[in-house]
Amino acid sequence: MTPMGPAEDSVWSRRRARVIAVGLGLAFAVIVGRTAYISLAGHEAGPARAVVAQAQVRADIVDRNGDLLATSLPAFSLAADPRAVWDAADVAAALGTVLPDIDIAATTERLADRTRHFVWIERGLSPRQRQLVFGLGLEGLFFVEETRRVYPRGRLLGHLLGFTNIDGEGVEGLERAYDRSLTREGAEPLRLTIDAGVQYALESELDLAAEEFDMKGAAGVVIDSTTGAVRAAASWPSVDPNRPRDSGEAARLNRVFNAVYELGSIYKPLTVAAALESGVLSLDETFDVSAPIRVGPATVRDHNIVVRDPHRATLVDIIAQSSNIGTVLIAQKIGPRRQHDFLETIGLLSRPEHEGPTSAAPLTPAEWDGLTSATVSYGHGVAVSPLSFAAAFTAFGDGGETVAPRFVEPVTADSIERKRVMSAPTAAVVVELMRQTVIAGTGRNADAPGYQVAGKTGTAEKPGPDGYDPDRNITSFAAVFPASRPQFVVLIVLDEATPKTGGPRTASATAASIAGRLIARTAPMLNVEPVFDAPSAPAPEMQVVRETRAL
Amino acid sequence: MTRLALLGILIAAGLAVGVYRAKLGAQETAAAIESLEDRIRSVNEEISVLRAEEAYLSRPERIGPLARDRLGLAPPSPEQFSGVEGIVGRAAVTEPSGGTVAGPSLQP
Repeated sequence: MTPMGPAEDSVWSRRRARVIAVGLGLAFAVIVGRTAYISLAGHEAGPARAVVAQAQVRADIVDRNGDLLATSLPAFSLAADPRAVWDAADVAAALGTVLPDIDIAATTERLADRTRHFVWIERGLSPRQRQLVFGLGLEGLFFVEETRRVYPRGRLLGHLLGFTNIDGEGVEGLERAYDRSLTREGAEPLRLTIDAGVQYALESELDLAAEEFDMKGAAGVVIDSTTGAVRAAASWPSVDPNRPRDSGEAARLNRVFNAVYELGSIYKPLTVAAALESGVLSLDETFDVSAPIRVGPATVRDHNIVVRDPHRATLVDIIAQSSNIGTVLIAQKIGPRRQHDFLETIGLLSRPEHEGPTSAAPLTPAEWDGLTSATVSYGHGVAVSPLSFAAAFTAFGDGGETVAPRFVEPVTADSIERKRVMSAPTAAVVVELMRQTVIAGTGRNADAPGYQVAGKTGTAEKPGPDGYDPDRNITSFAAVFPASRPQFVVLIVLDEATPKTGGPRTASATAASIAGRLIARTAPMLNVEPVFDAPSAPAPEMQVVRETRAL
Repeated sequence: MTRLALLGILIAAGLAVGVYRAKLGAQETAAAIESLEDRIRSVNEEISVLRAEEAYLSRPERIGPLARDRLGLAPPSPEQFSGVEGIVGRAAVTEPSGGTVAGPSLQP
C-alpha cells in the first residue's frame, strides 16, 4: 500500500471538513427551521394523557322566591387504566382501605381486564376521599372532574324535585320532566311556583300527623286557585333526593301524583254543584234522611249525624253533617248520565293534563248505573290522585272555573289554563255550604280564625278483597280559603290514620285538624289578609240521628 | 446589489422578529385569558358551594328553633295584621304648620 503524500492528505482533509460542515449546516438549518415554525405557527397537539369527562352542565332549581332547591357542585370520580395496573388485587385492596363502600372483588375484576383502557372505580368522591386516594400513590389510577347534583335542603320537596342518576340525567320528578330545559346551553335556573316556606309547613304538619296518628302514608297540596300555581305538594313518608335509594319503595311513592284514592265525602260538594248546575236542585229544598235507603242491592246509611229535622234536612245539613242519604237523594235527581258528564268535565274521570311530572290515571267504574251514581256521589267507586282532586276543587276557588296546576314560573295571565265547569253563583253557594261545615259541621277542627276556611271532610273505607274494609280508612279534607274571596285550595289526605290516643278514625278527628293548622301557619306566607266573621247567632237546638255509617 | 440584498435580509429579519414577538405576545395573552377563565370557573364553583351551604344552613328546621329560642320570634297571629284603615286609624294627621288636628295618632 502506497502511503499518501502531504498534498493528497490535505485534499482529503478539506473534503471531510466540507462534508462535516454541510452536515452540521443542514442539521442547524433543520433545527432553526423547526424552531421558527414552532415559534410562528404554534405547537402541534400531541395525544392527550389525561381523560377529562365532559361534565354535563345542569341548571339550578329554585323556589318562587329564588331560594335554592337543587344545584350542581364539582366532584371527582376515580377511574383506572387496567393496562397500567400491575397487581389488580393489590390496588383494589388498597382502595378498599379508604373507600369502604367499594366492592373489592368487583373492582379487582374490572382492574384485571386488560382489554379495556378505561374503567370507573367510584363516582362522586368528596375532596377528602380524593386526597386519601392520592395518598395511596397507586399506579394506573386517575381522577375525572365531574359535577354532582346536590339538594341542599335535604328532604324538602324531595318527591317533586325527583333526582338524577350518576351521569347527571334526570330520572324522577321535575328533574326528569324538565331534563331538557335544565341541561340546555346557558339555561337559567328553573324557578318553581313552590314556596319553600309553605312547603316546609306542609311537610312538617304531615310529620306531626305521623306523630299523632299511626298511618301508612299521607299527601298534601296547596294550590293558588286563581292561577293554578302549586305552592306546596308533599308526600309522606318523605324522601331525600340526595340519597333516594336509601328510602324504601313505599317512601319513594309520590302519593300526590302517583297514588289514587277513593276520597269519600269530599265529593259531596261536587254532587251538590252538579245538581245546582243541572237545575234539579233548589237552595230551599229539603230531604228526608231519617232512615237508610235502598239503592239496588245496597243500603245507604248515615252515622251519628246531627240535623234539626231529619225528615226535612236542608242542603246545609246534608253538607255540614255529611249525610250520605241526602247526597244520594240529590244524585238520584241528577241522574247517572249528567253526574258522569259533570265529573268528566271537571276532570276527575281522565288522566289530568298539566305540566311537570305525569299524574296517575283515575280508576273509574266500568258501568255508570244507579248504584254507581249513588256511591260516587259520596266519593266511593272513583279513585283519583290527590293532585287531580285538588285541581278539580279549584273550581270553588275561582268562581266556577278550574285552573290547571302549574309548577314552573312565570305564570302569566295569558298562560293560565281555565275551564268553566260551573257558574259563579253555584261555586259561591257550595263555598258557603262548606264554610258552614267548618263553622258548625264535621269540619270544625279545620277552623283557622281569621282565614274563613270553607271545607269538607271525607272518610272513605278502603276497598279490600272482601269489599270495603271498615277498619281501614282514607281520611281527607278539601278546603278553599278565605271563603269570602277564595284564593287557595288545600287538600290533605291521610292513609289509614288512627289516632294513637284511641280517638275516632274519621276525617273530622284527623285530616281536618291538620288542614286547619296548615292554613293558620301558611296564610301569612301566602299574603292572605285575615278577616274576622261577624259573631253568628247561637245555633238552634239540634237533634241527633244515629245511623251506622257516616262518611 | 449587495447592499440591497443585505437590506432585504435585514428587513426580512426585522419582520420575522416582529411576527415572532406578536405571536409570543398573543400566546402570553391567551395564557393569561385561560388563567383568568380558570379563576372565574374556580370562583363560580366557590360561589355554588357557598350558595349550597347557605341554603343548607337556612333550612327552616334549623332557623325556626334558633329564631324562637334566641330571638323570641313566633309566627304572626291573625290579630297582628291590620288593613289600611287600621293604619290610618293610628296615624297622626299633622298640618303643614305643625299644628295637630283632631284625628288619629301615631303613638301606640
